[in-house]
Amino acid sequence: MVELLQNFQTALGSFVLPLVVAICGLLFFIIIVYATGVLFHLNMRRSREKLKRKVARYFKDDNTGPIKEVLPRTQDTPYDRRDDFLEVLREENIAPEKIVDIYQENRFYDQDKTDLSSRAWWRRAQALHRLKYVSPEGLQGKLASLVYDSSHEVRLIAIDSLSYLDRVPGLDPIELFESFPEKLDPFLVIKLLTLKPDKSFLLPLIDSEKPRLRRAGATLLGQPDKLEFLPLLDKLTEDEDSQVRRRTAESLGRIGDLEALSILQRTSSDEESVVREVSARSLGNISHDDSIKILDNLATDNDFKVRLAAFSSLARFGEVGRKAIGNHWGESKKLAREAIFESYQVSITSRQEPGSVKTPVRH
Amino acid sequence: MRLSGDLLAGFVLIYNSLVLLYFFSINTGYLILLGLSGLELRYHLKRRTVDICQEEACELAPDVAIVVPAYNEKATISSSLASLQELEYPNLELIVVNDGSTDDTIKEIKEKFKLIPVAREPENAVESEKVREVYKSVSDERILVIDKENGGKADALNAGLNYSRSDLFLAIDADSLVEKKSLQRLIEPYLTKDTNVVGIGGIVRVSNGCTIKGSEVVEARTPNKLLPLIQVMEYIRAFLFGRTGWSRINSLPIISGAFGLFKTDLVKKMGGYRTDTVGEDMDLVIRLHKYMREKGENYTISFIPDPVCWTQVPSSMKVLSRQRNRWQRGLAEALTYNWKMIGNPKYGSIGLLGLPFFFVFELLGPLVEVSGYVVFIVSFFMGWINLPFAILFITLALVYGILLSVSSLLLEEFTLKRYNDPLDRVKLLGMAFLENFGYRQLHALWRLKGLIDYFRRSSSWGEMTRESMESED
Repeated sequence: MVELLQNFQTALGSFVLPLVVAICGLLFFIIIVYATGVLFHLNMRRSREKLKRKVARYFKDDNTGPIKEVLPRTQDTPYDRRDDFLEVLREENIAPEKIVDIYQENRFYDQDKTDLSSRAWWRRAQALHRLKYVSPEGLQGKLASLVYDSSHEVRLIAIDSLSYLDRVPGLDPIELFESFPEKLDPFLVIKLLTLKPDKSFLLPLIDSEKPRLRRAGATLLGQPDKLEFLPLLDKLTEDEDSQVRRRTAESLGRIGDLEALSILQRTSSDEESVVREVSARSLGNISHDDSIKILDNLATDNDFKVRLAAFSSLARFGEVGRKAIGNHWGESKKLAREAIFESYQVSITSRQEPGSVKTPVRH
Repeated sequence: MRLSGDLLAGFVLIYNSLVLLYFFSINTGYLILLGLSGLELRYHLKRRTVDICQEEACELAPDVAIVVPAYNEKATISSSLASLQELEYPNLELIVVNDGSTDDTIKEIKEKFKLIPVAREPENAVESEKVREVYKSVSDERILVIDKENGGKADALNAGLNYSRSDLFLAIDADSLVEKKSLQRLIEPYLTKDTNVVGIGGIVRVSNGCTIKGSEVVEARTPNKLLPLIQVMEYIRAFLFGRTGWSRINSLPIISGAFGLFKTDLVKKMGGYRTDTVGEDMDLVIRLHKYMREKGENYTISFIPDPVCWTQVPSSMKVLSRQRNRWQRGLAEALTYNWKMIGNPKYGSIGLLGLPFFFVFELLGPLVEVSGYVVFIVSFFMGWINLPFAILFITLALVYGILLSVSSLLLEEFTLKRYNDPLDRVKLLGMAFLENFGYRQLHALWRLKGLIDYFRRSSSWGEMTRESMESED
């Protein structure tokens, strides 16, 4: 048996030996690649430090020197140096206008335009990312068309670049939303859309089948002094999604007009406590006797958070509000104390006197 | 006599064959995982991150409650909480749960964050020990502190869940520092993936040796002490090629309890964390898989290699051995509580790949490794061993181990590059070699002891010693 064991081991040995050699070779190769990577990174870091010192020297002279002096040397690879250069400029908090000047003073700009036609998505994305500092008029059309690019990343950056430039071409929001069939990028899309001076594009959002879009619509409709949105918000109070109703109540508070009061009265009796809670907070933005009456009712709500929100809002109405809180003092001293504390917290952070002015709605 | 010698040799022969089979299976598994991790990391690198803290869009970000269970964390709780305050995320709730600490943890937070008692009613969706008092901070209204009777980490997390009103909750350890943009990055799959994302894990890195100012890691450095340095290597390997690879095929069986984001309502529906285990984090993730698979829903449990949470690792053998013992017991408990899923096709890739791999190679691994050492020593003294073969096999095992570690470093070098100093990289490369001589064997022993303790039904957590986070300038 011992002999069998040793024969078995010998047989295996002939199989293991080439394996050991192969793995040692692979390990050696990986270590070489790793070491090369480390050295390359070290070299890049040194050259970045050098560039940083050069830029720092230049900007000591109030940005008046010739830009070409600090630009990367011509023998440097433009692609790599450009990244470094912009990175350094960002760290130095250089004004975007200056970056535009620097950009247009050298050949980066043309190269980026060429990259926009590249078939590789990452080249298009990188070019776009850089061009947001430049904002040339002629590029806007290209940027707008790239919003519909086949690549998810390019679409994201195109939207980001457009919003960065503060220029929004005639994009149709529904077409825009529909063009993201597999993945909707709500934050960037909304960021882009809110830059449009005319807010009427928001209207189709609230009819969307997707709750997330309706929620976005509900939030975006809440713009101070935009009373024309009130009927739409009124409609959203009937929405089946409680988050939409919650955001509607929030928006009503942000509009903060007396005309929003009757709608808020309805949301304050919503079946979902979170909607009632936000309604109570929003009512704190509308200083009126009717607000106090509604809040007085909400102060006896079954849900703790709704009661707390009602107290907080009442506390914002100064003496009158505190008197109303006093009526409920016996029911929950601890609650009232926390409400007043919260109200003062908001006033401290917003540096405003409690009960005197509108304060941001918390949620 | 001769017969018993033959029997023993026969046993060794069979054992040798089994160990070889085991050896090749585990290493093939790791190589496949390495490949999957490379693909996943490439995908994450090419994605561009979405900055959700933008004007109107900011308000649409889902609410997140960060639940921090704290037991005797006086030394680290303030800096940890301060790092959470710095998080760049709009809708936050910071819930610290003091789990009946016997030191001055609650006093420390009370003083630093100006706490006052408040009336706040819990939802009581999951069971937890009695809450003594609830506090709110005067200096930051997002902070809520729950002071409760001691019930263990899982119980503290459950108490935090009861007081949370947010869509998502992030469970983190009190000795952790979270990077400012980490939460934004962590939440990305939840916002952008088409499937229902129910859990997301981020990478945990070692803070020992890093330059920490206030509550921020300003420079990632490796520690000078050997033991924490080896653990840096271990963490890189475990997170970069372990979890990233499993995430690629949606079979991630664990999200670290030190940094994991979950859907609040779903976890509440499942009854919260299981309190009768020390592996509550792994158990929760496995149960999430089970729940979603049984419901037939399309879901994802993701691991994102970018968002970083820094944590202190033990710098003494005693504490480290306790920690690894606990991890092994936790693994054993999580797998036995959910044993019906192992190898069950009903649970898809997690049932057929993830859990069997963890059972065979992670749970039984130390048993096979340690018994292999014993059999080798016996065979050597009995003269049964073919020396050239033995040397070759040991070399193969060592080189394979080093190869996997160095490959993880390579992944780190070409993707995330957190350690900028070349000296740190050289140190890590050294550790990839050094850990195989002594530490690996010791580690196998600790884990084996954990397995034995599991069978002896030991439920001790093991004391951890904490040091203040702030580095000395």
